[in-house]
Amino acid sequence: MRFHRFDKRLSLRRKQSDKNGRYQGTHAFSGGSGTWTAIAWKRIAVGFAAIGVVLLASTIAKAEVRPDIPVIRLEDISGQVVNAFRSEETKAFVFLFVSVDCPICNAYAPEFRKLDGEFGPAGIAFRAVYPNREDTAQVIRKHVEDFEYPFPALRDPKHLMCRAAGVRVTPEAAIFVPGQGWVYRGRIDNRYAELGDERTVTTQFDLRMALQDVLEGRKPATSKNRAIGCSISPLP
Amino acid sequence: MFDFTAAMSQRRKKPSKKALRQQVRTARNSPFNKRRQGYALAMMILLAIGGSGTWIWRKRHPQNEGSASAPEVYHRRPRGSLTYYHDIAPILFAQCSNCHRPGQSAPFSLLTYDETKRRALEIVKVTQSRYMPPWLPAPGYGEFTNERRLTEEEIGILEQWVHEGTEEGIRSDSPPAPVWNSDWQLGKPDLVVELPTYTLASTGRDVYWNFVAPIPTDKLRFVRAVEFNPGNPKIVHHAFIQVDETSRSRLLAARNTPPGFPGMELSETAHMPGGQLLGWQPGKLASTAPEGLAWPLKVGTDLVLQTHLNPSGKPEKILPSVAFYFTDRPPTNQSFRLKLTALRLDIPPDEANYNVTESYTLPVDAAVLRSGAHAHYLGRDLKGYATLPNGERVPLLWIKNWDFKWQGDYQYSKPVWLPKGSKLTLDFTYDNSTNNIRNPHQPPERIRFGLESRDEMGELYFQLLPRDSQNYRVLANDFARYFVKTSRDFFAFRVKINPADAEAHKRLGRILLSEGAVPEAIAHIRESIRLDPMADEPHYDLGGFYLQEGKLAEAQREFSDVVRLNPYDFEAFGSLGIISLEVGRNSDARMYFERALQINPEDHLARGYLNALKAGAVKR
Ligand code: HEC
Repeated sequence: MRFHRFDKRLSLRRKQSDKNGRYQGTHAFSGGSGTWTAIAWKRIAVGFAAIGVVLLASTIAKAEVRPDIPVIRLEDISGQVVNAFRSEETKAFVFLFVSVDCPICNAYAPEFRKLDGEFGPAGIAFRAVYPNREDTAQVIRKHVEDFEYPFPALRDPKHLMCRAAGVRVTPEAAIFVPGQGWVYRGRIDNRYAELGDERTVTTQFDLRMALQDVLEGRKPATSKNRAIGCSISPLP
Repeated sequence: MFDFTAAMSQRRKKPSKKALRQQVRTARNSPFNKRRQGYALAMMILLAIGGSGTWIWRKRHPQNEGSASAPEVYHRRPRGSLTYYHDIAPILFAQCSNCHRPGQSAPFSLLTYDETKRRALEIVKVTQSRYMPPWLPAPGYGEFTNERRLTEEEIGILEQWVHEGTEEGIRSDSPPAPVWNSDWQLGKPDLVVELPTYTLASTGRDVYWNFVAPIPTDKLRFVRAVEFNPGNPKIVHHAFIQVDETSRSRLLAARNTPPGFPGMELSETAHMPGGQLLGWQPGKLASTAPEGLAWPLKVGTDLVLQTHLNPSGKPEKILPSVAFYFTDRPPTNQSFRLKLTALRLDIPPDEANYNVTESYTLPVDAAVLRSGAHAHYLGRDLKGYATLPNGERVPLLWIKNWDFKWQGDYQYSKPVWLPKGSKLTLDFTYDNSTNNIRNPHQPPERIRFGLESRDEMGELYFQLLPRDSQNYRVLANDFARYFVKTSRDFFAFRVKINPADAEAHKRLGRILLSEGAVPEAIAHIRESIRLDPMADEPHYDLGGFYLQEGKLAEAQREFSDVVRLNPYDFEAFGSLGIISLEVGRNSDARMYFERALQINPEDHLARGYLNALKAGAVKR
C-alpha cells in the first residue's frame, strides 16, 4: 500500500508561505481544491465502501463519503471550512488538542514536531485542534507560526471534534484509524503527573507507542490514558 | 590572611583559586604585588564597612516549633449564595492577579469573570492541591512577609462556587480591580542597568544563563534597593543578583556571543553584596533594605545576573534589567550571608528517605532577617531550625514538598533573634526512588553532592544581622574556619571513596596548602595532575605556592605549564612576568605583561608593570 505524503506536502506548502511566514497550506486541505482529483478520491472511497460506520457530524458532501471515515467540518486558520478527516490513503489520523495559552501544550511543541517528523512519512496525518472559542483564527495563526507546528491547524469552538474524540484537556491526543475508529485517547507521555508535578525525565511515551502499534497493524495496547493539562473552556 | 569570607559569601562556587592567588600575592611583600591586592581586598572593605549603629535589636520571644494554629475547616455557605463578584473576585485579586495579569509570569490572566469561568475546574484543582498560588514554606513554621497562601476557607469558597455553577452575581459587589505600577514596583529608579539579550532555544532542558554588564556610576553609591525586571517573565524562573568588582565575570562573559556564560558556577569574585539575599522569583515583591543596611556600590563594579530559564516550546528572547535605588546615608551595620551546606550527601539508589543534617553554632548574637533553601531534584523535605542554648527549638523554614522550579528566599515578618551559642541546623530529606517523579535518573543511581544538575545539592542560607561590625568580624572569621574544616572533611571523604578523583585531590590539596600542611598538600596536588594531566589549575596552585616561597624556578615551571595548557590565563602570564622581573629578565617580563594585556586589556596590574618598565622605573 502506498501512503500519501499528506503532511510532507503541507510542510512544503508551509515553506511557500507568504512574506509574514503565515501558513497558507490549508488550501490543499479544503474540499474540491485542485490538489486532490475527484477521481483519486472516488477510487479510494469505492475501495473502502463496504466497511465501517459513518459518523455524521455535519453535512456530508456526496463526493466525500467514505464509510469508514467520519466527516467533521471545522474551520481552518484561513477561515475556510474543511473536513478534518479529508486525506488520501492515510493510515491514521492524530488529532492533537491544544490551546494557545497553556504552558503544558506549549512545552510539547518540540515533541509534536518530532512525532510528525517520525510518523508523518509513514502515513500518519497530524492535525492540531484548538477547542477553546477564545482562540481566534488570528491568534492561532500566530501560535502555529511561533511554535512551528508542521501540520494543519483547525478550530473546534463547538467541540464537535472534542466530543467525537472524548478529550477533556489540552494537550491531549486522539488517534483515529480508518476501519477501526478511535483507538487511542489521552496523554502524549507521562511527563506530567499532575498540574505542577513534572517529571525530570519522561519514562513512558504513550502516544508514540500507540502509533507504533497502529503502524504494525495492532490495536494500541492502551486505549485510554488520563491527560494532564489545561481544561478545555466549557461551551457557553 | 586567606580571606574565606569571600568564598563563603557566594552561591555554589569552587573554593578559591582566586583566594589562593590572593594569598600568594599578598604574602609576597614586593612593591609589585601591592596593586593586585586591590581587587579581592575590596571584599574585606565591603565587609568592614559596618559601623556601630544597630538595627532591630528588639528581643522577641522565639516562637515554639509547630505553633501552627488549629486546623482550619471550611464552613459551607448556603447553597447558591456564592457569586463571582461578591466572593471570588476578592480572592483572585488578592492572591492570583499579581502574576495572572498581562505581562507577568503566569500564562493567562485571572482578572475578569470570563477569564475565571473558563478555567473554573482547573482553578479548583490547583488551589486544592496548593500548587497555586506557588508558596513552598509550610504554615506555622517561621512567619514570613508577603506570604502567598490561601486559607481553607478561600479554597472551600472557590470549590463550592465552581461546583454550584460559577454564578456571576452583581458587578457592583466587586471590589475595585487592583492597580499596579506600570514599570517598577518601587517607583522611578535612580539607575537602570539593561543586560544583553539572550535567546533561549525552544527545545531542551532548563538553562542557567549568566548575564554580565557594567553598573555605570561615577562615584561611590549606597544602594538601598534593587528591583529585577525579567524582561520575559514567563521564561525566567528565578534569578540571583550579584556583583563583581573585578573584571573576571566580564571576561568569562566576553568569550560568548551574546556576552554571558552558562552554568551554575560563577566566578569566585562574584558575590551578593552586603550579605543580602538578592533573589527573584515570579511574583516576588521588591523590597528595600532596612534602614542602615544599604550596601556600597563602587565605581567599576559589574552586575552579574544568574538566571534559571525554562524553554517554552518556541525560541524566547530574554532582556532583563535591574533598577537601582540609592540613598545618601551610608550603612550603619552589615548583614552576613551564612550558608549551611550538606557536603556529605551520598544517596544510595532507591533510597526514598535519605536524611542529612548539618549544624553551625553562632559565636555571637544575631537576628535572622531572611532564609532560603536549595536542593536539586531529589530533595523532598527541607527543614531549617535553630536550637537555643537552653535547648529550645526555634522554627525557621520548612518546605515539605520541595520543587526546584519555585525556589526562593523568604523574609521574616519580624527578625528572629538568636543569642550567641544558638545552633543553626539544616535537616533535609531526599528521595532517590523511582517514586520521586523528579528523579533525573531512571533507574536511580548513587548520587553525591555536586554542582552539576545531575548531582544533588543541599543548602540552607540565612541573612543574619550581627550587633555591630566587631561581632560581624567574629562571625565571619569563625564561620570561615568552620567552612574550611567542613570542606576539608568533604574532599578527604571524596578522595577516600574514590582515590582517582582528580578534582577532589586538587581541592583537598588547595585547602591543606592554605592551612600550611605543605608536603601533604603538594602530594595531593601532584596526584591530581597525574590523574588529569590536562588540567591547568593544579599547576597554578603550585606555581602560586612556589612563588610565595620564593622558589622562582619551580614557580616558573608551573606557570609555564599553566599557559601551555590554557593559553588564555592572563594571570599566569602576569605571574611569569613578575618572576622574570625578579630575576632581572626585563624583556621577558615585558613580553609576558603584553601577553596578559592582550588577553585582558583591563589587567591593570600588568598595565602598571608595563608602564613602569617603559618608564625605566623598575629595578630589581
Ligand atoms: C507567583 C505568581 C503566581 C501566583 C500568585 C499565582 N499563579 Fe497561577 N501560575 C503561575 C505560573 C508562573 C503558572 C504557569 C506554571 C508553569 O508554567 O509551570 C501558573 C499556572 C496556573 C494555572 C494553570 C496550571 C498549569 O500548570 O497549566 C492555574 C489554573 C493557576 N495558575 C491558577 C492560579 C490561581 C487560582 C491563583 C490564585 C489563587 C494563582 N494561580 C496564583 C504563577 C502564579
